[in-house]
Amino acid sequence: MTELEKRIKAKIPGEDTGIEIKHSLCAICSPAFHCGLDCYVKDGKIIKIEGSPDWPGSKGRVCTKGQSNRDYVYRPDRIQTPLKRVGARGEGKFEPISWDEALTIIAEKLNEVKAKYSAHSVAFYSGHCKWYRPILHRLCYSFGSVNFGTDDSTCFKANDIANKLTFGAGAGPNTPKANTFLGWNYGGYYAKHMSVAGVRALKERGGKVIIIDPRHTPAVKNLADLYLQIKPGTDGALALGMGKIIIDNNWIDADYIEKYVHGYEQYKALVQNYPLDKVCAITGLNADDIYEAARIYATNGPATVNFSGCTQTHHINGMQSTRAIHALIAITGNYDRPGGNVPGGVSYLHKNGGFTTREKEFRESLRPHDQLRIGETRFPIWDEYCDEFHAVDLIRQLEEGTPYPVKAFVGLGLNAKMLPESDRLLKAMADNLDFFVDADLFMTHSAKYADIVLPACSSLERGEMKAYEGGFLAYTSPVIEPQFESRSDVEWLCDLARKLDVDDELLKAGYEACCDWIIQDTGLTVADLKKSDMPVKVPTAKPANKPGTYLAGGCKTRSGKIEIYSEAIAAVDAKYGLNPLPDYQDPLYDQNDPEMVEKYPFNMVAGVRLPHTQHSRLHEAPWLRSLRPDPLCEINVEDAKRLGIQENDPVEISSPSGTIYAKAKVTHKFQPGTLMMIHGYTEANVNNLIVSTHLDPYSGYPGFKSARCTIRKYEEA
Amino acid sequence: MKHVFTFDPDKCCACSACVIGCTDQNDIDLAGGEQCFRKTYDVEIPLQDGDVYYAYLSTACMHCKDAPCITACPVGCISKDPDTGFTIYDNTACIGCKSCAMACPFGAPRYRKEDGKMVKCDGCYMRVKNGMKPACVRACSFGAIDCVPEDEYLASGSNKACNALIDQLNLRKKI
Amino acid sequence: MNKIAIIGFGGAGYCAAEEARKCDPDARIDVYLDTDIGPYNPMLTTYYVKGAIGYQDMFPFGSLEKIEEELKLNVFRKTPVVGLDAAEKTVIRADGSEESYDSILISTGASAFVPPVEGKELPGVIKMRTAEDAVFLKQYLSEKKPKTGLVIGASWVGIKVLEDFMSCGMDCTLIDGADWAFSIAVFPQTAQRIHQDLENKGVKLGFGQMLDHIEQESDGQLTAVMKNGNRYTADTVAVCIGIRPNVGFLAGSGIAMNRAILVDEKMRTSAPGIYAAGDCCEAYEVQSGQQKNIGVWFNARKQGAVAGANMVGACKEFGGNALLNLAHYLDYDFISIGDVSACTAEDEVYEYEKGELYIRAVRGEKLKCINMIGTAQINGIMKNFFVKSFETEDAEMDVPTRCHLLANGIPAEFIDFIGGKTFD
Repeated sequence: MTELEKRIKAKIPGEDTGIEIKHSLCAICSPAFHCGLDCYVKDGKIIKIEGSPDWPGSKGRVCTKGQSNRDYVYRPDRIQTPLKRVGARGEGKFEPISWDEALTIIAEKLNEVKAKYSAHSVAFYSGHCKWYRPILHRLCYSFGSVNFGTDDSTCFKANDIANKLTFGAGAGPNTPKANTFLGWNYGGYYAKHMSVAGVRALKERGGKVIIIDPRHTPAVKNLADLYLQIKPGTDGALALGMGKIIIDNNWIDADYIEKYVHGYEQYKALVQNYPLDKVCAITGLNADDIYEAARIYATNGPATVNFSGCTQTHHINGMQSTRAIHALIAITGNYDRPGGNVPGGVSYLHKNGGFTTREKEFRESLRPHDQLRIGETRFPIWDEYCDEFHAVDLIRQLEEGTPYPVKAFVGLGLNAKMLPESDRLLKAMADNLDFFVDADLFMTHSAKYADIVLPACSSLERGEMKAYEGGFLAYTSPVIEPQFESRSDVEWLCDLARKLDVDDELLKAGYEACCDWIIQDTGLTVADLKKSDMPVKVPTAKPANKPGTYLAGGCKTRSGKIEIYSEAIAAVDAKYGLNPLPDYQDPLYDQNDPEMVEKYPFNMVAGVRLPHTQHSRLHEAPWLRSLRPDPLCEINVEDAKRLGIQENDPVEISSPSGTIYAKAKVTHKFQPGTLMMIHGYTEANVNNLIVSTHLDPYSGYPGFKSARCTIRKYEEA
Repeated sequence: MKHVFTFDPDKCCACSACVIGCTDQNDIDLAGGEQCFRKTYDVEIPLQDGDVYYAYLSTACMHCKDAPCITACPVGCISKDPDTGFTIYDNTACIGCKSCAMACPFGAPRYRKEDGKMVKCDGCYMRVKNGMKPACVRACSFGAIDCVPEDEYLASGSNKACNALIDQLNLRKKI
Repeated sequence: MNKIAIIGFGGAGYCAAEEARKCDPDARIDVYLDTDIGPYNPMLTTYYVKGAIGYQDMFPFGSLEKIEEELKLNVFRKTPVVGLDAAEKTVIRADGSEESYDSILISTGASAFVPPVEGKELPGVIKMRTAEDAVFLKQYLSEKKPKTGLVIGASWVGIKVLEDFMSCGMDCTLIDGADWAFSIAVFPQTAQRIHQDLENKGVKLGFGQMLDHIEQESDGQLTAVMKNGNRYTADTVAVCIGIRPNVGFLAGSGIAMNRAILVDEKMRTSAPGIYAAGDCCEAYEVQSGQQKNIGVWFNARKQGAVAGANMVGACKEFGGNALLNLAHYLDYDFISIGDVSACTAEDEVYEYEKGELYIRAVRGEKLKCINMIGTAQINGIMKNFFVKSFETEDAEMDVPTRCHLLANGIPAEFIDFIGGKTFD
């Protein structure tokens, strides 16, 4: 091999090799990250991906998922053209059509439903990808429908609402200044890789790391000084028990409570119901560990709690458990304090850049008010704090048609596997919708039910606007042409706005014009941003407020204080039976009748993170799939032994709502009685086991992480 | 300049980002059944006292100083890169006899499905020569794997060189 | 100035010259060769025959001329050494001339053994060891296009010659005097699987019979007549019964020998200043603690390098030597580590089979022998652990090694059986 051939083989960028590095962002996982990428491009093809070293936030780091962007973008099953269904819904038979034909059909069908029923009978929905949501949201309202919904209905939003209920603002961890890191369900490595360095730094400077998790994770091994292997879903009881210990030992911050905390006396009375022995019995923990966790958290100086994005809120007691943990922050004076939990805003799309945009105004200003949203009367707390219909109620409204029928569905990346009883939901859509359009990169299980399927492109094939920490705003350029006939979602959404001829000149002017409108106060325009292939510093960005500023100005709660006793919950009609205090309930309280307990003795924890999966979008990515070829259900060694199940044995897992088949993975990582499984497999969709009424009444969130089921070895016929 | 791969088992979580980085760099057809040069392990090892050791590891060619695979190869495919000190190869004449695998105490050589020829981690020596980190190192978000100049490594007093792995990971010493 | 002689120039001789030159840039290094071709690897001959490599590829160190120049050697081509005066460290050449040295390395290798039976010289009877043999067979196969082949000797060479035959589309029969193939290294249970695989690939087998003589039929075909009266007829007959160390010229030299030359860890023979390395020597082996002839390329090179260094004043040792047999043919591979003949009925046996993977291992107090089929990826790990288990008391398996074995489908029970407990 010549030197040049060796350089080409080694993918060394340079004029001689014809390999160029182009910058973009990874949109595979949460918009809270969206790490910067260096894409090595040769002859219009991506040949290699790396983290972009100077990108704000990620600073060169990408996770397993991000590292696999080439695998993802070039997945062999990318949808190539717009498609029109020719078979039955769900059958997967389509024929290619042109973009113009597709958009014409969509516009006609939506207008038909609008005319026959009402605009509200058209639901607009976004799956996991969140970047185009301002455009979709506005299109929904411009069209006249109140029903804009997203996967927020099962994602981070419940956490956000809990924060708003208690603090009136966010409550992110301020790890750099903390002495104690209380990692409540903190996995770090597999779900929030950029957070690990901060926790390690805390540990290296002598800080304490406590991790509370039913599962023994790498974070437990590598970081924890104290590990509490809690029984799934009993965190609320633990938090109340720790509160009692803190109060009993007078480790509280009485001045702080006096000044800033609402409902302390009621809370103090509540925790009397959670003496240590009772808490031990509920949580499966030992008393010394609980005491020690409480002591360290309350007495070791500034202490921060890390809340996992949705782990806690995926229990039907999750919102209250989260609020019970909030109470610990409140009584120890750790909110809006250096090294505690601190409020934070959002500049644009879940990222705080220290500047303001008009995202909210752009999205919400045209909202119609002449109809109830899906789920509005069922989940009043949700409705108050989130400008979206509740996707969990969709299945009911489709099936019952009340208070009005849903007849058309505009889905972007709809993934029914992210919702309980996924197949039942898809059946309800197939049976009741007059029209269903879905856009996606791949022909998904859900897309097969659509009448029109549109090919979307990945973040590497489009330009998009994105805010970053440190005062940055980016507008990316495509690093490769969109694959096949795929298009950027915002392009066709704006085209659709024109086809529908909605009364919204801004939307019809296109994505860039909308972005310009949204960032008009930043001192920058899209044209400015496009001059750089890296994020640009926003002139109006300001450093975060000094800790204490928020509290001094009064919390954005009804009482102006940190509300352990939530006045917002208290204001909800008593018929909902909601408790303003964060009391504890069993995570299976709706499934605990003796017959159920006998038939379904196991507790399924669905959605346990794997480092190389993100919902279902990477299950079919060839490299990543090969890391774990089969859907696996994890079972504790003792249970496995008792049931005669060995590693890799086929197993059947059943719940009242369904049965799935997987292979067994036998583990010591969690206690007996529990099963754990990643979600998103079409052939083994664990969320089919989650009963669609097994919900947290506060948030409407499904109890994905505690649900009754049973498992047995499956002998293939 | 001679380089040393280091690995810190206390920072690894077996997330396999390194595996994907290696796959991406070397165009390995994982789905077609080819094996990546780098491998990660998430293994539970029950101990006699009832406890369990949770191993999270990433390993590849150790680039041994006195590499037995070089001696073992009957056709002389394997050699040392004089600059980096990495164990590199030219498999043009490889006969797929697997003598290298028999010599390697770490199971580093792989055999390509299509023609049975040996392939292995070459330490990304071309990248290193061009001032870049190896692909696996770039892919690690946790600082578990690194590749540093030998003098820098010696000056650091670290004991995390990959080829010292065996001593470090001996459980008896660990517990 | 060191003045050394190297008799025989294969892998061992070459590595000795290379190492000696590295340690002593000024040494005079004389190399004696029976032929005029450079060091090649006998293991590659059958690969050359089937076209997997070119002729030059059999010579991994390059041409003799290049080596001669680079290592500054005096090469005596076609100059067989016919005797050795060990006390005087003097070599005796075929022409009667003599030359004395400070030290001498015997690295004469081994030759294919063809028993002295009638018919062994018939056209179409072939053997396989040297580059010349390879050139001959390659040409023979392409010109004569034989349809059927008989391989006598289910040895490591025999199986590779059989593979050459099969790659030409020949119908093959494999016979051996022992009751099963590779009998010096494998358990009968392992052999049973090896036989099954060969039969599945269309090879006819005949074991437990000795060759009496070879006859030529009227149509030119050859018939091997066995001592039991069986007759095997084929277009060509390969005699691959085994190899013998080239040590005949040492008769009367006084150098201690068993089947081959006995050496210590420093590759010294019983005669001061005389060294031996490679296929012509028996070096210490870890399991028995005795000297054994283990003719593999890796050993030849390592032993040569140790001898070469020591001959010019360094002090190196050759260690980690275990009985080892690796075969890789027709997309099948198996390995035997340790001494199958050391196993007794009282020993503990571990056996495992899953799909293509087969493991059988025997241990007494210590490991004795491991047979594995289809485990190429982990053979080095197992071999190293086997050696370690003799070199170190309570050798333990480190965590990465254990993980690697598990990931390759090796059961934890087997790891425990071989003593790979990581904690006790």
